[in-house]
Amino acid sequence: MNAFAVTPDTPHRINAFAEFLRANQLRVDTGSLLDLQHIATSKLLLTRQHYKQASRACVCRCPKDWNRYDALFDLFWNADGEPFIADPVEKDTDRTLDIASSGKQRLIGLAGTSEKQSQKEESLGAGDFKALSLADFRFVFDAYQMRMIEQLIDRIAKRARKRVSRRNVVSHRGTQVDLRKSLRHSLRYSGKPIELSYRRKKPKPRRFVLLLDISQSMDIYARLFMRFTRILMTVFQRSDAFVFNTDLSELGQGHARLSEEDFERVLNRLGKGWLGGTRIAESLDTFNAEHLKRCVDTKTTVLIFSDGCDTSSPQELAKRVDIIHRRAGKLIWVNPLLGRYEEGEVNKYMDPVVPYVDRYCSAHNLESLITLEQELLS
Amino acid sequence: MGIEAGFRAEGYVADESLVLAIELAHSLNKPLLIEGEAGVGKTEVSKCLATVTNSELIRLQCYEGLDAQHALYDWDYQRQLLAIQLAGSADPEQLKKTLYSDDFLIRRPLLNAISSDTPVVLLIDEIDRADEEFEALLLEVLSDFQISIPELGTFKASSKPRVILTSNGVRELSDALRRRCLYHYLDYPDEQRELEIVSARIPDIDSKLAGQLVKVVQRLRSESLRKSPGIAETLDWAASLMHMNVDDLYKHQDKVEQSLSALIKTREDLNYLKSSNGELLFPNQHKMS
Repeated sequence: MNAFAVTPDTPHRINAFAEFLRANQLRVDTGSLLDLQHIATSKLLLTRQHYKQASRACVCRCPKDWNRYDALFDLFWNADGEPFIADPVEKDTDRTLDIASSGKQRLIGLAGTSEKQSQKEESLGAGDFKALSLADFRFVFDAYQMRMIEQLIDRIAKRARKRVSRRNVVSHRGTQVDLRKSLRHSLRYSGKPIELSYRRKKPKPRRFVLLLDISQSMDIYARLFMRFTRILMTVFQRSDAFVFNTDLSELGQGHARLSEEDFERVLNRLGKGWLGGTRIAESLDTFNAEHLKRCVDTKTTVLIFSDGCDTSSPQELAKRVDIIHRRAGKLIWVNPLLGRYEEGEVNKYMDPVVPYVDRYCSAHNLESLITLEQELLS
Repeated sequence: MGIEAGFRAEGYVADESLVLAIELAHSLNKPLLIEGEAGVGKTEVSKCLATVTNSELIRLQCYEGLDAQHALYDWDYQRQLLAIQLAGSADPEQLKKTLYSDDFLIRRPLLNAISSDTPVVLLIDEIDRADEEFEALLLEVLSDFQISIPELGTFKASSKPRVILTSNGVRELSDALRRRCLYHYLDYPDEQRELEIVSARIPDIDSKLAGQLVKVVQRLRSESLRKSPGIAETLDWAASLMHMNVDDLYKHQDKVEQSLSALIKTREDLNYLKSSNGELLFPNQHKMS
């Protein structure tokens, strides 16, 4: 553990450190900078380790900052100002939903934005954002673009969460009298309760049931939808999620918190693994028998992410879907391959099923995913 | 006695960075925001701090819909009404002064903390459950440590309370609030520290049993449980096993299974544990039915 020695140069080094942290997306405001300067001379701090811990408390504001801080601190104070060549930095990431993120930590060096990053930012300017939102996910091979898509999915979920936060409001109409407000109003009338206030019933949070096909034919979409599912489960905590290929497995809230690597490990443990064959009708049969009554009611939106390519007959599948449809508030079938079919073209797998779903849509690109989000919250 | 030693005497094994953050918060007169999963000991920090510093603990439990009347102060309307009725045709101006005096003021936790003459530890628990509007209200209190009551004037803290806010991360807190606080993320303890915690809280526990159960808990935390066991659950489980005279997990597998309700809190997790056929509880001997 190195001793922490305050030298005349220390305040300048701390200023440079604050700049370095800002360049790495940590929000170091003037107040925090003053704290950093103040604690450097504090008698509490005897070692560099102490300064690291104390400055971490001053600068960090969320678990993501907390996890990155030690590496940033060591990088700055051990390298003695040597520039650090960095990968592109993540920008505007939703902090709450970091638990669902599996992206590697990326650092940006003292020299600021790298040339490589600038080029990528230029290549993904505002005009190209639309192009990205229209691109089919299967054509997005670049890791950076994929990361952008993941961030946009995070933002969609963030918007969804904002829409559901409601307050328990006091109202002029209702069934339950708000005694405190009514008494307050009665003071105007010498204590006579002339003007009553009511408390409106708090709306219940939305509930979703998500059924995700992770078979071979879903390929790239399954992983992205899994991310979407995990975020939805984080936001709407009463939601239930299931994955299926040859049989059905339930995902708990614990799964939603896992990183993609850990999630894959758990799937392998369950004997499912990513991808494989598809038995949709049998999987839905299991769902109907074991989970339908518990998970689905008239206020539940059921979301099935699947291309419908099943080894059973489509009529069998339609029967299972009908059972869910009759019990659920809304049943949405998301088929990422839908965009590949011409209008009016026959789809032997899905055509018998479509009459039993409330909404049949595609989610093969970001634009359609945004439409889906609006549909979910309507 | 230093904070670390004091905490240890209270059975709380605090790591160096937490102790430093507490001392720093006091030194900088800033609130300390502690974030972390449920059951890692966030609330316990305040309780221990109050004991160690010989201060009163004032707790404000946050919930959705919490407002100024429940957090700051309120007027006792029933007694005011009674006073109006009793006063009859008394001087209205005099009556008004009486009605809005300290006698009819109901002090809520924040006002109590601000107006206390002795040092207090103010715990604002689970701030993420409160509405954003309440957060905005809190900003003024936490930055100036004063509360203005239009009818009575301004209450300013004579001794600034040590403020600790806790959050489970249910909702994203505003940047304005985070900016005003020092931050500490309290993670689940590693195996060694959890063993120290168990030994500190349950001194009579057999060291072999403590080691075994801590290993199990650590293993379960890496699984995808709906509710990962926190430190409180570990301690409950340890106490249950001791009560059932278990001194070795492997020797009393049936009793271990019966005691799982102290550790596992949802049906799904219990089923998951059972479906592992004992692999998670007894990795070397899969015997659980």
